[in-house]
Amino acid sequence: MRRLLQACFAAVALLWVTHAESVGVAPVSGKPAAGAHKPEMTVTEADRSRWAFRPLAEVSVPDSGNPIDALLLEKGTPAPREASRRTQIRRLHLDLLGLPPTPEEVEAFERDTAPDAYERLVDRLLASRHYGERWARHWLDVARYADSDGYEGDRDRNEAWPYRDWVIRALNDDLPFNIFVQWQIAGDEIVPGNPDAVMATGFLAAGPSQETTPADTEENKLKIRYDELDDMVSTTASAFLGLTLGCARCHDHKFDPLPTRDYYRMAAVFSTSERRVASLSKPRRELDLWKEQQRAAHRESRMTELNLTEDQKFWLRQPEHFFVPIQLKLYKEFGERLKVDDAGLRAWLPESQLQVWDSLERAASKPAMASGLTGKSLIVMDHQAAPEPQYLLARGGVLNRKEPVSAGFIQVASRGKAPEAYRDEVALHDPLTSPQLAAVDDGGFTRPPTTYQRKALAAWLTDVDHGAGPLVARVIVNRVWQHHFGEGLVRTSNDFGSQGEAPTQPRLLEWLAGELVRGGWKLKPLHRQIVLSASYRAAATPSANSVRHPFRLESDALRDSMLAVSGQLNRKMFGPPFRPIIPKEAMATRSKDEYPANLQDGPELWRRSVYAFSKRSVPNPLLEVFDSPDSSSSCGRRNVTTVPTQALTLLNNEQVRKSAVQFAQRVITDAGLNPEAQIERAYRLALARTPTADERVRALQFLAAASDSRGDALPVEGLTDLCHVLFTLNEFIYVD
Amino acid sequence: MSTEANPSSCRFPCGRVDAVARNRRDFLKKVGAGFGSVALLDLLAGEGLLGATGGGAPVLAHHAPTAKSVIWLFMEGGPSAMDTFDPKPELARHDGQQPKLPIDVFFGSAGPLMKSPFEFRRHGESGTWVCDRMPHIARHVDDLALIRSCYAESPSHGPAMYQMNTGLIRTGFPSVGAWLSYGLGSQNRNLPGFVVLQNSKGSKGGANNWGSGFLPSEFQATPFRSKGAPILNLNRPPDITDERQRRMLDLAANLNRGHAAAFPGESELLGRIESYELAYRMQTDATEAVDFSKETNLTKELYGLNQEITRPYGEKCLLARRLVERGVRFVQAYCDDEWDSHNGLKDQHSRRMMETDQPVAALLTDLKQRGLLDETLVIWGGEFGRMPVSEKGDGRDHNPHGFLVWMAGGGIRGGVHHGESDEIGWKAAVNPVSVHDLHATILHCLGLDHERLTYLHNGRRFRLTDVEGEVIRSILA
Repeated sequence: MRRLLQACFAAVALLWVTHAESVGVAPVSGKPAAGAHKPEMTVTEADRSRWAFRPLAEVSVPDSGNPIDALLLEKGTPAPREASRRTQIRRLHLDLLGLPPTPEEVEAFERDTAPDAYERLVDRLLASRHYGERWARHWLDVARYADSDGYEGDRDRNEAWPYRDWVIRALNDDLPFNIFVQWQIAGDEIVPGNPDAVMATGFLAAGPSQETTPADTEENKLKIRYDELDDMVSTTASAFLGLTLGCARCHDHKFDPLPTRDYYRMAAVFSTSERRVASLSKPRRELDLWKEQQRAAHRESRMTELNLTEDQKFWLRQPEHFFVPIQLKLYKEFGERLKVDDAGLRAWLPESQLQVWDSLERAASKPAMASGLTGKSLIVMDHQAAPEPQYLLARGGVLNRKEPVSAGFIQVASRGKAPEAYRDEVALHDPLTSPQLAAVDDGGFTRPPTTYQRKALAAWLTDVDHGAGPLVARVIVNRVWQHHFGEGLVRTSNDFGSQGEAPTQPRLLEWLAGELVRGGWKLKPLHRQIVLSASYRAAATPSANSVRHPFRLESDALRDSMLAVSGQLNRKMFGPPFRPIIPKEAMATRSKDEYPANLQDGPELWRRSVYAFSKRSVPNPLLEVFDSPDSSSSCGRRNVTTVPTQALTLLNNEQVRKSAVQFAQRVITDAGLNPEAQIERAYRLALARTPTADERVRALQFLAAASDSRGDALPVEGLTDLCHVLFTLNEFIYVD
Repeated sequence: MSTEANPSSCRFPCGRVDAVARNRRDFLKKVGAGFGSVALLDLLAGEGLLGATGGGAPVLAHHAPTAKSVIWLFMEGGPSAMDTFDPKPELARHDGQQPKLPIDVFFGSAGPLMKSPFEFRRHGESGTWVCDRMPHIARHVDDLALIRSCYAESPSHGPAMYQMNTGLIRTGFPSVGAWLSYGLGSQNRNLPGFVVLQNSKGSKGGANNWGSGFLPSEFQATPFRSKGAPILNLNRPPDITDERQRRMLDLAANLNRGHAAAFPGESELLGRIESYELAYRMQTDATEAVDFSKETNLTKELYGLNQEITRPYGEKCLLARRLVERGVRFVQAYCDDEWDSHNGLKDQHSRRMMETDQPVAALLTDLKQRGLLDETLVIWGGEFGRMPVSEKGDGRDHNPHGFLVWMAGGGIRGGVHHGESDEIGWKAAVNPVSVHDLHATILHCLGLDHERLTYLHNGRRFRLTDVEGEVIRSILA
């Protein structure tokens, strides 16, 4: 039996090599494949001349003034009226940081009469660490990030968060967006010595994944693998290119020039890529390796105790997921008795070994890098150097292999440079010797053999001359614009194809994309340019031409704002996610890792929402009701619904009420027991302004009525209710 | 309701009467014949003030309606007509043979023609064929009108869902329920007028399927949760009395109105103000509506709540009945497991039928015994149907060219068939029925003329049925 297995391995390996060779020379033909019903779609120059795919055009702008205003005004937009200073600072804080300004910040800004006051405010906010948290949340929507597998099993992913942290750090450090793209696709191939770059591949790993079980047929396993590839291909296309390439899995795209061939050539890029949980720090890796060796020794001794035969031992040494009936049987019989946890292992090891263990543990728990990463990360890596055979599947059927295809890119976004040229180029450069951006190399990560296919894709994606660079630039500047104004210049931010909408201001979009590239792909200068424009600083008006309308805070910003105003907000950054309290009646679902009940409320749970554990099968109702995306696929633009269940949440949710209680306590601490002073303070904390005379009177009446009706009531109850009311106001929930 | 009303005096560009802006006497003068007036007078008598109505006030229908509410049993994923209510003997005869014409399947490869794996029998006085996996619905065939020649425009779930819900395969348009809420208002100030009982896996296309599009946001559906409690946060925090909460809401409403005045035309802000009042009233009424404890065991068993397989959809059907009973205008109940049987159709469809057959039949029985079936339009169907050829050996692919929807209840003639698909069930052949036709018929039953229910948006008067749609007269009672 053992020999049979070894023979199988050899045969499979041989097969790989043979296929790899044949794939290398397989001609890519534009002619219809044999047996096809319809002729294959061909991509024409006319397709390439669509606005989304054209090379970046020069857009002339006047020498003076903010070009954004000049370009917006071109279409006859009247010069906008500037919003009040209070509106401007509140808008900027919520927009750039996702948190409201403190009364002191508002006051300082209102007092600052220097002509560059606003500009300095912008620079201060862009330098804030909270900027990365705010804008990472936008990107994590696009990256369909979550902390669990999804599907029925929905196992927890306790190693996903390093990617989330990387996004926050990358944005705070203003990592150029082209590098930001490249690392997420192929950081492990580009700068293998830089844990940050490797961690970035968590982007590819972030999608839902389905476990295979022994009961799955070969076809099912293949289907699950293709679904995994589909997730990578579709998300890459949506996130960076704004294209619905996933549609081309079964047929040429019905509306866009995206042949099925493009889909499978993109899939081929990822065909050797796999999710891995890896230690990116050397001491941690040493510890893991050492523990693995001790476990193996423990297993050997246990197997000897159990008098197992050599054959039985062989099978039990194989990784458990290797599904062979005899192995399953043995595992069922002995598996439990061979397992050992850390405590068991410690009890078994001699004293001298325990000392080794402890010293390794100490070394591993020291943050080894800028990232502070001490544990493991969910990443994606190739498992071999030879490209795996990949096929064009007829109508998406996993067994319907039509013809082999090699890795390639989207034709409509390519100009005169073949995928092979990119691959040859990137493979020539040894990333270990001259990485431009190699940061700390702690030698922690040794890259296994790799195909460099993803690195070629990364190069193509960010190639402005021959590749998808212009499209990638347009897509990201549109996302940035969307979050600043509530709506993109292309309203369908994840679809730049013909089913999406055309840009409302094509010249502005073009200019912004050009600026991004000219400025070295830095996002912060882009934000700066946008928020300094008169169009951004304008008051929201009902005019149809106005680009500013009040828009609702996203679920995360709303929760974070309540925590900030109440004074609860725990500003601790990074690290493992906290698990928010989810009421039992909201959890009637089963997964292999149950969501914990009986969680204790406390400061750890008052961290920003971007650090909340996001379990795909148990969405946090507080965020879900305000339209948080479900992270099953890339979300470029959240829904904005207005439903009574949101009102019920703000009125009755336990967390909201607790925040109101804390808010009132804070007001008393800050302003004492004088009702007028309390009202003043509460307004300034929640709404960044003082109450009007009328509002003051109403609030006083409200407080008086509260104590009247209670007789001996404590004044704090009325104040708590008033603070709670402020949380329910449209003025609090919307950015104007 | 009249489209000729002067739009400048109304909040709604179609000329819909805006009760909020009018006094009660003016409003009553407009009230003529038809159920709308009855319901309205009842409401006025009961509640006094019209202006506080959440979800819009009831207005006059274009003609006498035959139904007050709609329950749409949404069979998401696409149930197969030839395996449920429309047997095709030709398919059985040519089982395993290649079709004469190339079939344009969406996924996978087109296999040969595949007969239904199920047996069919005739039922009722109408002699309607029903698959033997649906013995419960089979007993109601004389109440059903089968529309056997439906067609849609997209073979893809997302766009097809959008079309079935909004008329168009793109996003951004109001759903049927939103149009009805906009046109007719709510019959109950204490519950949302439009409720969606969601697919626990999430519907393809999500909230856009029941959104209000360009209509004011107060007309969108309130989705109820599919797992655990249907609505969370219905109980006030323990330390807050009703009196205190009322004071809080009054203050908030006052401040919110002041804020909204600075942003005229932002309907979202107004919609949110309304939503607080509705939420306040839902605390009592929705709590009662979702509480099954007063239902008898007999009723619970009727809906199959005592069996694992029927419980999920049974709960939705029972909740749907309780909601329309309490005046909710439009309820969509999405099935939890989809009908999307690309392979193993026999197993998958069997299971879907076992899950839904008894609950759906129970709903019809229950509505009838309570006298509600006459005023409730019940719709059964998915976003498209399935292909006559096999996929992956034993499955069927999406088929937007020919599928089946049935209607029953308020204003529908039972025991009739409308239209036919071709002999193998591929394409609608006789009296084809578009999605616009289905929508026109739904509006008609509710007393609305689909050509006159319009909303001015971006300079154009939009309607649910775009520029098409004909009422399917032959199925009307």
